[in-house]
Amino acid sequence: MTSLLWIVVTVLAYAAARMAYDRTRLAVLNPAIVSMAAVIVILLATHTPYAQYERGGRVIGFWLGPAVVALGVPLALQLERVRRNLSAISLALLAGAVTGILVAVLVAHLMGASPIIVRSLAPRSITTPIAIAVTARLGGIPALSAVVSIVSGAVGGFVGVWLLRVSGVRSPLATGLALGAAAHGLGTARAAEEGEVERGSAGLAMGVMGILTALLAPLVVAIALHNAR
Amino acid sequence: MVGLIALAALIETRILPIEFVRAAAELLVRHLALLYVPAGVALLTYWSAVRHDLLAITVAALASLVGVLLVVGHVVQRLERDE
Repeated sequence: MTSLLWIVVTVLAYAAARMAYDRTRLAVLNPAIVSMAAVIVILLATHTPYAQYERGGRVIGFWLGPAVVALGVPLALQLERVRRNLSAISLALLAGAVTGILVAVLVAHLMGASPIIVRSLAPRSITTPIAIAVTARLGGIPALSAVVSIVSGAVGGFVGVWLLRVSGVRSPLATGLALGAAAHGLGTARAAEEGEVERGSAGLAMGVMGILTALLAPLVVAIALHNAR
Repeated sequence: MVGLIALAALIETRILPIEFVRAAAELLVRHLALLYVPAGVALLTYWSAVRHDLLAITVAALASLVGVLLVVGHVVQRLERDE
């Protein structure tokens, strides 16, 4: 009975946050962050232990697995684009995946973050459901990876295009791939406002980065932390 | 992860007609944010481990964001073939 209650609370919090975002379009009202914050406030206010919430929460969280598989559909729709610039795109995304993991892990390590935090930052650049899975396997805190992935995606969507232009990137293909690679879902949403090439290439970059990061993260984290000691 | 690659490959090779899975996949992806709310709420139980490293987390995440944007953007722009 109580697990049903917490499912309803979570869905209602999400529906309200989504509605607020659709009305205002304010980047700070990110629906995922707002609904998480709302549920946390309700749990604290009602003195509900997380373990009790989780009995309902896991019914929703279960669908993350199928949702990751479902990301294969938009990826397949974008694969056509790879053909013409196959080597440029492969090389850029491979370099991007290694950069995303390495920079996050090394900076956090050098700033004295504890190992469990450092591991949680490895999947920083990828879409949240895959980031959660990667961190669970690395032995980090999946909840932290989720929040870091969402917030950095929102920031990247907000400043990405400006940063690319300032640094001299003008090509639509490069813009889309960079936004999807660095800021996954929200980067892709921002890229879609620039044009069709940007939208498609961002969606492709987001999918490929998710796969490459999942494959490379254990190795890159091990090498980086071994040599940084 | 294996499932994601397998699904993309099955659709790409036309073994699996995309119309079989498109509606269900689009529904899941459209409301993806709802699915990871419970995972994010778990931050509550890890707050004591996270709060001391908030500055390192913020700086590392921003550095990684800027690094990926610039590396991918510039590598593609330099290597792509003209239209």
